[in-house]
Amino acid sequence: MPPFGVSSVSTLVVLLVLVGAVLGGWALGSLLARGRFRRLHESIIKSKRQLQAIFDGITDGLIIVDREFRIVAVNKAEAAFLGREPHELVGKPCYEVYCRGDAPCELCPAHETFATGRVALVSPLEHTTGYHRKGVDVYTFPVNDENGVTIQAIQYIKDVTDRLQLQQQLREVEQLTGIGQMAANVAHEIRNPLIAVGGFARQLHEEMDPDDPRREHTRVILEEVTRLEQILREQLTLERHLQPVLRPVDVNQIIKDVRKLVSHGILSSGVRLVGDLGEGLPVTMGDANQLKQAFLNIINNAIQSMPEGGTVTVKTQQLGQHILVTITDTGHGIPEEVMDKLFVPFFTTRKTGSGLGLAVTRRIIENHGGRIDIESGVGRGTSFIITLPIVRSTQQARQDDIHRGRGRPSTSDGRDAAGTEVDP
Amino acid sequence: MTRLLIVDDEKNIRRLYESELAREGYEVASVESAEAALEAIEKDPPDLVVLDIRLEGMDGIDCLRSIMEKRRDLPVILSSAYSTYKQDFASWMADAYVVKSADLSELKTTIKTVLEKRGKV
Repeated sequence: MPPFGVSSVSTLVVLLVLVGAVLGGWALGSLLARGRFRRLHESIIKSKRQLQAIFDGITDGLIIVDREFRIVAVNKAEAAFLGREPHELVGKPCYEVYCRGDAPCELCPAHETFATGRVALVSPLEHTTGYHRKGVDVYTFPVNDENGVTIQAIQYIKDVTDRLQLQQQLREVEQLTGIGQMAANVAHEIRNPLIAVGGFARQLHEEMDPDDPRREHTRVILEEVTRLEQILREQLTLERHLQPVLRPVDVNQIIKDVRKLVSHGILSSGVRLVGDLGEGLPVTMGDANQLKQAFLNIINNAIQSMPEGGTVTVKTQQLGQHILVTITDTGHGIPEEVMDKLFVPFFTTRKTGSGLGLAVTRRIIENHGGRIDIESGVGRGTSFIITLPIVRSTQQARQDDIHRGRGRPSTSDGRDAAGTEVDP
Repeated sequence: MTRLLIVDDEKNIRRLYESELAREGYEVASVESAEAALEAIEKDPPDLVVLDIRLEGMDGIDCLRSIMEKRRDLPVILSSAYSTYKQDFASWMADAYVVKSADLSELKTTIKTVLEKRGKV
């Protein structure tokens, strides 16, 4: 056994060394931890700045509200639209700012997001302040705490004024086309018998002796028939105004534009819109607005036929001298008894439908020299197959001819009328 | 004698055309549908067809396409009460287009012009 004295000194030394090591370790650890903390702090600040930049960089309105509907944050675009600085709005109830009310607005989609924890949409709403007015879609996205409880809602206020204006224009075209078509149908029905009446009256008139007093009667018949024919022609003027204005169009681009018009409703309806656009589709002559309307009508119909969700696929392809646009849904299909009436004006299976959509659609496609075929079966979904002839502008045709070694397009048969040419 | 085939689903229009065009010295036959027209053309081709566009069953434009495929040499005049078809691309395949009227003078002149142009007179 070593003597106590020696042993206690060495124990002390050991203890001192231990304490030193612990203290040193702590100091070193603390230094290291502080560095880590600083880096962490810096990265949080950096992320926050990035998020703020994104938040303020978005040109649509963004606000974040808590469950009491108080504004937690608002981006620059939205504050600017309201004519305020963001900090002036933070802390205020959003209903005070937006509706000058004393309770959350009934229409606000945040109610749904707070109740369900899901994305909600109200579309469209009118967003007015002072002299500014815009049409908006308002989406709300949930912000959840660590227990999955929705504590805040991010409101995304998307400016859709252009879309609403275009939809309004399309609705007007649709109504006018519908009325025009009805007038044309009536005119057609009346004209045929009138032609027979007038035609035979003319024969009688010409066969009669010039001195026959009955010639006065046949003259009146002819005069009145001519007047009626004139009225019918005027009735058709409206329809004639709706003839397509032809310009070179890219069908794929039209589909992309239509996609923009419908996509706002897709998120909430649970319908997926899938594009399968053929590459290298040739440019054809057409009226972009009318074609947009035609495709939009079919796609909207498809979406509405699937209230419980599904997929709408839009496929474009070239087939010989035609462009095929196939719009397929995964809905219930069209019953046979409805099929025949599908294109009849004012026929509708929906309470809110005008019954003009598909009638107008067919008119537009036919005015473009195309056709619509439908493949459908109950429970199998529906495909609308739109076939459009590829129509080249005279300029294109000329260029093609130069490439083929011909100087100019043939005009000997006189069939390339109105500056455009159809490939038969 | 030059032979015309009239295709129109209105009985009284067919009668009118037959009677009026016979006076002009044509031999006129008429049918009420595109299907009957294609059959008649197959059996015994006329010199010219006056084709209504709006028909029950196959319409005039599809009928015109069939005629173009089988007999490009056969002149066709489209006729319709629907004046807007005049701007439709498909109707440009025809030799001429006449809007129906109680006054048949435009139709008569057009028949004459087309026959001359196609060397059928």
